[in-house]
Amino acid sequence: MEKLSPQEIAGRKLRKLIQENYTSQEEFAFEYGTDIRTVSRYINNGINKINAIQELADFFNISFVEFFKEE
Amino acid sequence: MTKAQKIKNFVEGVFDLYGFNKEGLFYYYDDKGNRIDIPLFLSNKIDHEMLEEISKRIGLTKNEILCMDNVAATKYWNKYPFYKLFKKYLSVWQWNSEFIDPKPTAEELLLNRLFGKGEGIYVRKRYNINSIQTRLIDQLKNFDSVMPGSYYENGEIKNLCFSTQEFFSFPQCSDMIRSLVEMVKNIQELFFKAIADNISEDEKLELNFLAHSLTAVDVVTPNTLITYENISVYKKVYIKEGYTDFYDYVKIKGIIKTCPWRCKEFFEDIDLVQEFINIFPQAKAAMREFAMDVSKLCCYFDWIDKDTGETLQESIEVYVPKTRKETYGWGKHINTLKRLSGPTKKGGLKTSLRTPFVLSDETFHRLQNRATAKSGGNL
Repeated sequence: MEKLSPQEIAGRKLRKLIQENYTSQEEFAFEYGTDIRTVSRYINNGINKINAIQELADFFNISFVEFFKEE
Repeated sequence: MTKAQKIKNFVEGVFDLYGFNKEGLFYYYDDKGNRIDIPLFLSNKIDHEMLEEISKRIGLTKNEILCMDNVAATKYWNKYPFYKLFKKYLSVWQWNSEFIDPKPTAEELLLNRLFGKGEGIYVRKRYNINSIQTRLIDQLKNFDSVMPGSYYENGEIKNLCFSTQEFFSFPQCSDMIRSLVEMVKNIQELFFKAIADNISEDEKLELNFLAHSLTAVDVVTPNTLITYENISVYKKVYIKEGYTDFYDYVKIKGIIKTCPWRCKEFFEDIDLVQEFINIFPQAKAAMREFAMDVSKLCCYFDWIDKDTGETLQESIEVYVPKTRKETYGWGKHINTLKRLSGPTKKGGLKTSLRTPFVLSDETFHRLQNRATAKSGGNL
């Protein structure tokens, strides 16, 4: 099984957090203040930037490190 | 002074009273950005077509304008405390980092007494850049354990600068928002009354006034204000569409740019904040961004190799949480702001998803119907 990069793990975590808190990615994108293409990119390709993960972690009230815990 | 000039001054006074945009009516900017004044009445003669146009904007009858009726001019000022409070709000609304520090240092006291502003003592907030850099490095080392590449053992941070946001104080913020909510409720009621042809002449004037003041526009054709005249043109379309939610027809564009969530008293009445978000659901995302910026320092820097001076990574952006001292006693407000701007399931405010206008079959159909209505065709 292909090992995921930390950035990809963060993207998967985001998908899980969205599923737990929203009925759709569109709903999350609207509330968060981004567009659906960015959300899709984060989920499918991973999240590369530290500040982007920090903002998401802050929004979902989890720590930066928690974003990289594999489920 | 001719009567035309007096009326022009009167009208301009009303525009200033309610904060209406005078561009296009009193002046315009040429290609070089120079402001060019426009006479309200050409050849200094009172033009009844122009009077009609002004009447629609400021919600006064043509006769009230001709008589320069100050009582009529202030009727909305008296009805809605929002306008008086908003002027006060704008005067304390701050985009820079100045604030009133209850405990300035002796040096700052002396400097401000010598060079400071007239009212109170304003002390520029200071952050210790060395402390920030130390905390930044510690944080990056921690991040590197889960996201390798966040920290360079042989690297050096260069060109560090940062930005942040702060709350300001306006004790009457809730009163101002309460009045704004009342205005929006009233325009909703007047909108549906206009569609139902059940609206008095005074109500038409108020509808026009509120449409301009709130920049209330048709959601499909956002250049169209929902004045009585425009509602009349679109009435059959609105009836055919049959929505019951005001926001399926109208978007309120005004006021939001002034960001009342930057005011710490905004959160005194959570129910009122929810009502505000019901009007401006997109404000919740802006609140989230502000929560991030007010609770943290956004650091910008480059990583340089210590030995070679080579750039390892540049233009990096990382947040460093503020210390308790750096939040200057706003911890409770920051926590409230973060909770309210977070997911609804975790205690955040509820928003209704209002999809931005995207050209789909449905919206194209709605656009087409409006164009047909405007040209006088049959739907």
